[in-house]
Amino acid sequence: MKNVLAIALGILTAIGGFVDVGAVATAGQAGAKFGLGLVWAMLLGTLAIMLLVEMSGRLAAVSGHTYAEAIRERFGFKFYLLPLTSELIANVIMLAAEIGGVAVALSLLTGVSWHLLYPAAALLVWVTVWRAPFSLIENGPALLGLITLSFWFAIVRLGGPPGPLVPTLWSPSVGHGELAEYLYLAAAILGAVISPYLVFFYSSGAREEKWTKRSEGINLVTAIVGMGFGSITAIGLIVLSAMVLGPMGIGGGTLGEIGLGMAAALGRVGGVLFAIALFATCFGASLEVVLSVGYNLSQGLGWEWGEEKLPAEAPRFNLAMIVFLLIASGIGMLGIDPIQLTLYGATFTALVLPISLFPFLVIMNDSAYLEDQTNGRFTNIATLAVLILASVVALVAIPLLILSGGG
Amino acid sequence: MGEDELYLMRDVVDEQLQTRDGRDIARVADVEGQWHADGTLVLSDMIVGPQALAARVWGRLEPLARFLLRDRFEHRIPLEEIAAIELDLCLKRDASAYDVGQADAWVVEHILRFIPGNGSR
Repeated sequence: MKNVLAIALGILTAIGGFVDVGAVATAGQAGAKFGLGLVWAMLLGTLAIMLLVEMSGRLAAVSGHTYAEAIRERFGFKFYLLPLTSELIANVIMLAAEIGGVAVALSLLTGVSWHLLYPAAALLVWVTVWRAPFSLIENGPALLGLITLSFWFAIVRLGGPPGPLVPTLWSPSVGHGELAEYLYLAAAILGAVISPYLVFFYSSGAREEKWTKRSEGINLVTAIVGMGFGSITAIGLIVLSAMVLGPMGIGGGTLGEIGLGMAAALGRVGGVLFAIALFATCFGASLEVVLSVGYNLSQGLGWEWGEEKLPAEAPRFNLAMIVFLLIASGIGMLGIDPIQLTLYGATFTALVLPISLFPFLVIMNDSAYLEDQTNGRFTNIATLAVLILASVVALVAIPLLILSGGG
Repeated sequence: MGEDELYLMRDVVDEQLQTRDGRDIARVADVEGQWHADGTLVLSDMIVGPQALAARVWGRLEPLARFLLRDRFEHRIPLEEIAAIELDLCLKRDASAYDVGQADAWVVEHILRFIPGNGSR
């Protein structure tokens, strides 16, 4: 029974981890502009993140070491600075955007400007990180995030995708001059879904929950089923945006616009459900990004860390998170729209993806860490394929951002 | 390779230092040794601190780091303090016995204690 509960909670967490402001923004824009023509990118990203999350969980379960720790130990401090710096930059943008998503959600519920609500959203994130135990951080927003399944209820309520929309799934309708924007959104979806912060967070979470070799089953099920459900939710938002926003000529340029899909299907209740779903996913992701930075810094520099510990028991870990949260909040309060920040964050993530993912190929074949659970041939080939995909995305992300004008 | 063989870069440098009471205090930034008159090299200490790290990133950063930090955060831990070499380096004594872990106490004393709910006693 305990195992079933652990698996259920793990799956919920994975759903919460998968869907964040990046997934909402890119899925909403993709559906609004290109119908179902970018569902393939979401599916491809899902397969990649399933693989990466499974490996990071297996590493932590078998070796008792996190991915960040293993990178510094096997590649040295000089190399570790690369993923650390790139993660810090990507995460500061993503955190500013995630908190912005929380503020927009609160704004949709209260009618107060999100600019005014931003400090309150940041404070809420800090208070939770400061004192909440890991289990609450992991499961609270995830449970609330189940409301994202209402995206599919809205699709059913609207009668499912209309006939002419379905062929865009395999034959995307990309108009003259829209190719750069189409490819840019594909890269942004991959950057948003294959988020290294989730990989670092997941392996640290496995340590927080004291996973052992016996946890490998939970790890596998969580990675596949959890990420799969998360993907279904995000694809739901693509479909809904394609059904509602596309025909109305709305581009999904703000989070509020993306919420119109739910409002069209379910009226006022739909609007409220979207706001709650946005709050839950962005709040959960904010916590995961902040913690991920605390983990990266503490594990890389050898400081005491752990969300289960009181702040005074892991002081530098907590101080690092406070400083990071202040910087991200400062950026967020400049007033840049969260969706624009998200697209920049996802683009930067795409740009540095290979740096954070390359060490997997070496570490997951090191028997000093994995004992008899090192990667098999299939997993190595799949990891190599993800690395090649990440490298291609990294190469094209910035040129496409410039060519398309940022989605 | 025998099980008792030790590789400095693989097994010591960059590894986590864990004290007897289970606290993570730092990672090894570098290792110091002396050439003896008979030509042998004897390794003596593990070095922990930002200056040593700066030197490993780029040699020319080291004088700048030394000028700015003035050795205040550099610590040496004799190699004989290592009780066991596993995936982490296990030290013989508790955290309170090592200077390097005291940064945590400083952060609590000077910063975190002003924030409610910090959990300090």
